[in-house]
Amino acid sequence: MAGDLPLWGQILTGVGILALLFFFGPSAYRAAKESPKGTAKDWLGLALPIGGVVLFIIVLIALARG
Amino acid sequence: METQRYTATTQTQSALATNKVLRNTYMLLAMTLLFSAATAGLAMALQVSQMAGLGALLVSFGILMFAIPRYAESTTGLWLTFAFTGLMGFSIGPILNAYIATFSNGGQIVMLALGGTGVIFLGLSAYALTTKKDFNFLQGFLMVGILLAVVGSFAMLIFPIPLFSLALSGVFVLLMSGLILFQTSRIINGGETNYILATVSLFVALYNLFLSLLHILGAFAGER
Repeated sequence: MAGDLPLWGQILTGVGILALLFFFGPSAYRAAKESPKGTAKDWLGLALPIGGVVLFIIVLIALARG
Repeated sequence: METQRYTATTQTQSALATNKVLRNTYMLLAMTLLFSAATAGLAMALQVSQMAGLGALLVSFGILMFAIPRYAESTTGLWLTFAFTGLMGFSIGPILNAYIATFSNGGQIVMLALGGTGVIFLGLSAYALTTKKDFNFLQGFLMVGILLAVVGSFAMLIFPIPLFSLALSGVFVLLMSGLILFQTSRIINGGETNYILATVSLFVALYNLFLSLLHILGAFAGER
């Protein structure tokens, strides 16, 4: 199931993944634990624009299909 | 009376500083977008290979991770921002050439993705600016989400699964939309005072949004 990458490319990519998790994993975990938690109202305020984006992409696909 | 005047003055100064950061951010963002469009055009005209594009992306990633945070408070940071965005634009060139060569309606897909990115950015920025909502609660969610999405993208290089790759593009669109809301709200609420870092963050969001839209439109509407 491996892609078109040669073996050295796959190993390099694997090392890259581990490096990303090693360097940024702890700070991301800390940020997730320490950042303020949103209330239901906050998440609702986010759902409105995100829903708009999803609808807009559906329109874009319809436009591209003609 | 004196306390009220002091509070009013402090609030005015804070609002002026926020407006300045916002204005500088949008001005620098506009200039870097034009510059990256020029480098993308150059890469397309020169028919640069995918490997050269990948190399440009890796160098720009290094500038983003190690150089920009260190020099963000100085004029060197400005030059580094242009170097970063120019290389990012250069890395898009071969991708755009591939879309135009692969799909008979490739040009239309590229223009729709470009226009769509612009509309989404303007819409989300307008929402954050007019409602003045605080999206700071997204910080942890975005950090973990973006890290996992980037790891997933790398994993796709080893195990390419088209459906998962498409789903990942959808996830990227949502995460980058969240990042635009988060960053804009940080600027207007005084959380971000450095316009170089704000510009770079918004540029990364726009770059990923454009590439993800391109992938989605290519998958659903590309004609071979």
